[in-house]
Amino acid sequence: MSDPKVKKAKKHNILLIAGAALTLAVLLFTFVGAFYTPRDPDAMNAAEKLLPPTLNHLFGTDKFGRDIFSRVMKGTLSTVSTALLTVLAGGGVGILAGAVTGYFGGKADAVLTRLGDTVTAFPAVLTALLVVSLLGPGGWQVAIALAVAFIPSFMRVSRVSFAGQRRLPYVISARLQGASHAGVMLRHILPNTLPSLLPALTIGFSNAVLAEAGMSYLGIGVTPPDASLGYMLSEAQGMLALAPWYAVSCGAVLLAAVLGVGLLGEGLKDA
Amino acid sequence: MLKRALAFLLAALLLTLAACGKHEGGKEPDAGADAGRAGENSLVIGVAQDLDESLDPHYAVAAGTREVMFNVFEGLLKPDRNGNLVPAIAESVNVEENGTVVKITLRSGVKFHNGATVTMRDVLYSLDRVRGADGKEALLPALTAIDTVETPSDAELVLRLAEAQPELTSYLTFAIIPADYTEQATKPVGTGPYRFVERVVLERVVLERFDDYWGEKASIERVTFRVIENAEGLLLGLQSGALDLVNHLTVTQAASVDKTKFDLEEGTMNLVQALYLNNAVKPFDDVRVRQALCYGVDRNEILSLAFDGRGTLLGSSMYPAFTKYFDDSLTNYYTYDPAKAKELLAEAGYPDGFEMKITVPSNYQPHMDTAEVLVQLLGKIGVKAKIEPVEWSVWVDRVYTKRDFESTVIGVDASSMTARAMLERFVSDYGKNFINYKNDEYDRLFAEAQNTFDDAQQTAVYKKMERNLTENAASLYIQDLADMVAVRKGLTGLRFYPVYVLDVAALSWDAQ
Amino acid sequence: MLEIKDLRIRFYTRERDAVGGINLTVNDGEILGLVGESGSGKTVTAMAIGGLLDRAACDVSGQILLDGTDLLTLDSARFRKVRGKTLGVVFQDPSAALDPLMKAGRQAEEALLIHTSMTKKERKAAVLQAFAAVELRDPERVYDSYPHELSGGMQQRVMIAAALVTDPSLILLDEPTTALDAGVQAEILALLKRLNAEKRISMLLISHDLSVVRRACRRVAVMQRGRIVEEGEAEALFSSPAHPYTKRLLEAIPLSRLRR
Repeated sequence: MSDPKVKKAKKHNILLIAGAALTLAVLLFTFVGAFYTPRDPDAMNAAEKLLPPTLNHLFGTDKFGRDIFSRVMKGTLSTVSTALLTVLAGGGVGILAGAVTGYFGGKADAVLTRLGDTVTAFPAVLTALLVVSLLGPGGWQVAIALAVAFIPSFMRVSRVSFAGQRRLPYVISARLQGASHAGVMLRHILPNTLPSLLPALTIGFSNAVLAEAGMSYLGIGVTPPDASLGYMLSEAQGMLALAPWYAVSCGAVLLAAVLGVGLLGEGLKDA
Repeated sequence: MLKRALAFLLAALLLTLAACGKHEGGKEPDAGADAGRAGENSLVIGVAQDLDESLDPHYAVAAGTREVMFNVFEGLLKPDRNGNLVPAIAESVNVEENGTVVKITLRSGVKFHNGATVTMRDVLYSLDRVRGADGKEALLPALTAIDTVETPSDAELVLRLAEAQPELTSYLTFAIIPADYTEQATKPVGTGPYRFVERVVLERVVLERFDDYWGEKASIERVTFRVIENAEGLLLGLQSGALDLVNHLTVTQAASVDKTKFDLEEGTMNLVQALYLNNAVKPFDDVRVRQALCYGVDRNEILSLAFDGRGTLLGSSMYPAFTKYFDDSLTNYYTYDPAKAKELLAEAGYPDGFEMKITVPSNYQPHMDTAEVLVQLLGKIGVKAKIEPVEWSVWVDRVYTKRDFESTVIGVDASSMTARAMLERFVSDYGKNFINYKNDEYDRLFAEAQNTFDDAQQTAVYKKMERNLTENAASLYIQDLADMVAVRKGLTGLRFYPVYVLDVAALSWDAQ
Repeated sequence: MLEIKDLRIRFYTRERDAVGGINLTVNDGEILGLVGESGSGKTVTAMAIGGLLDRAACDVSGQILLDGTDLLTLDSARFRKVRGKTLGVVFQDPSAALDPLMKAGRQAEEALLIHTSMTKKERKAAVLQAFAAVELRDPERVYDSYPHELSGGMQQRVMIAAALVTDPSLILLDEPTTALDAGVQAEILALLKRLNAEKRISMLLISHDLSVVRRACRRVAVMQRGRIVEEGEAEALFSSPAHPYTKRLLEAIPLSRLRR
């Protein structure tokens, strides 16, 4: 177990800094987009179709004359919030399930682990597709669908950690002081599990962003005319010759989000 | 650790690249040499939607199926590019005795694709099948008007009607198929200039020139209809050389087509595209709400935003190519008047608007685009619309068959060149009245039209029916879409028909 | 006061009893030493007292009466109320028994957090007092330190303080000095003796090392193969052992060489 507070010489953790910077930039972009966009993202204008980037329209306009910059802001908001929801829901349930099964073991553990394996056998997008087919398309439906698909991976990380720690002396010591199972899991095991959970959460977030974009691209996520990075990318694809800036701007923002969080996760692991 | 970072970078880059280079269904359209195809006298046409599950011509639902199979099947009569009906399997058709008798002489020596000769037996079999005389449902209800069928000789057919039907001959375009053949659904056999070779669901249909065709033989030997249910895939197919012809292109797609390799032809699709409203569902059961939508949506905006200004506005369920029946005065019956729209909505009990769902087949980009613009325009009068994209098969099942929808954007065509085909759809007890239109006056007019023997009078009644649809805002009629076709240079003969068909027999490669 | 009556424990997977019917009493204010080698059943006995036995894996009969309450009859919820409050436990390896991510003071407080409704300030005061009682030189600094910042001896004192802080009826110590250096061992044992004398807290000290037991305990019980073979005043036992096994224990050093 690494010493969390050893007074080493502070290394310059490039990954952490780069990751944090990029993530922060994307989050800022998202946050601002929640309250303000330079133009109405849904306003159509026949006279301004497929314009290249100008001062008026930083990312140009799409086939209906809508401002791409504003739509990218809204789309990023949608993607990021969906991914956050996915990680919170999937992570929350998964970590809890893994904690309980890892700590207590027994039949419940065997059953839940098998269940998790079954879900993992399907590619995440397929599982999500199944759930969406039951719930219908839309933002929060995608979040739930992806959360379900991601639960097993969180469960696995948490289970290993909790199972490994439950026999450690300090856990028994806490039990001997009268701590309940829940108390032990919450106060002692969970904090000791965080170092392995954090990378899982950040990777989960990146994957959720990509998955949501993928699903919107396929048309089963956020539906038009609501802005969503994935759907916009699928539209942009058909116009690469006419309007390459469309694909580039959507792709760049998506790239920034995934890369930023990914680097952050890597950086945190070494911190 | 740096390796991980690079992996992330690569993954993200790949995503962006994937957006650039993705091919539909993971299958690469085979970039065959286009010069090679001209040399081989073959052709690959891209179609945006798979054909019906069953290729049986009498059961075809999708306009796309009829479009392709037009080359495989023929009726006693068939349409020419001007909309006239010309004899095909019949050599002559004569209407006598004030329209109560139809005398048909069969052409001799017409062969089916399986080598058999067409006989009266096959004609009777096909006729009985479509008019429901075999005990099953009448597939062409119009033909139930036939009282008796006589065959004075092997080549003569006499149809006697209880009452004169001026339009009956228009329905003689139903496919003539072999009497004892049971595999039409999977291996269709007809008499047309092309015969069916093979079909792979969701992938392709292959036809070959029928060298024993009774009429002028086709030029191109082998035609493959490649199913690519994805707009970008169709374009990529053109650009990569895998496809030679794609029709029904959207304006945006047409703009991206390489003009050095392709010619762009513009026709009309001969459809009535509308925001079809389910009259049996709240709030569309209230005529005021339907009218409000008609007043509140500026259809010119749809054309300019989604179609580059191309397309022909419509006011009712009839398109301009039907010159005899088209009533242009209905086109702008509802002028753009958002104030009046809001007034009507308030009157109907929706002063703050309402929410609605628009179900759209996701593979039809024009309808998806129209829906997207509609959401915007409807928003201006306080109506919050949400788009529900569905697969084509789901659309057919849920919207068209089960009528489980609120509103939808689709193009409706005429299966035969008759006003009846466009208007019978909305008779209240018609089997495919998917919008649940219920209007007693309309039903009465339709019955009247069926009993009017004078052509001019019947036309007038049909026009009244059109007016009925408009005045009652049965749906929000939008336009007849411009049909953009990309044709590889060197391929000539493309002709636009007033019905939704693609005549391949007329196409040929220029001499190399 | 702890009374063990006819305690019999047999694991389903073994042929003989791990504990074959023992009787043991720790009187109020007494330190009793329980000696035996590995496999003697002393650890199992300790686990039984601490409620750590997997009841599904063994057969238990007899009574363990702590202040009159039979611990063996308590369900887990009620046992939790006893553990850490009336019964304190000190482990063998303090560096493993302390959560590396939690400050020492916070860990010593944990029993108070669980069993009482004292405020944070009150808890801290109680812990500082306990730290002083276990002769930690700078209680405030120890309170704010992480376990790895403390020496082995300090860690064990923290453990003892943690057990003390709820004013328990009995403290069970399982090999409390085995992991410590010889010098520190002596200090801890002296501390225990002193605490027992001053605060009259009953202690059950379990060890395989006779010399440890001799230094801290007044009375001693010797266990061999699940049975108590000899019991009596420490000095008497060591000067003139009655049972041959006790004799062997005294003679052979290190004991681990004795094969059973």
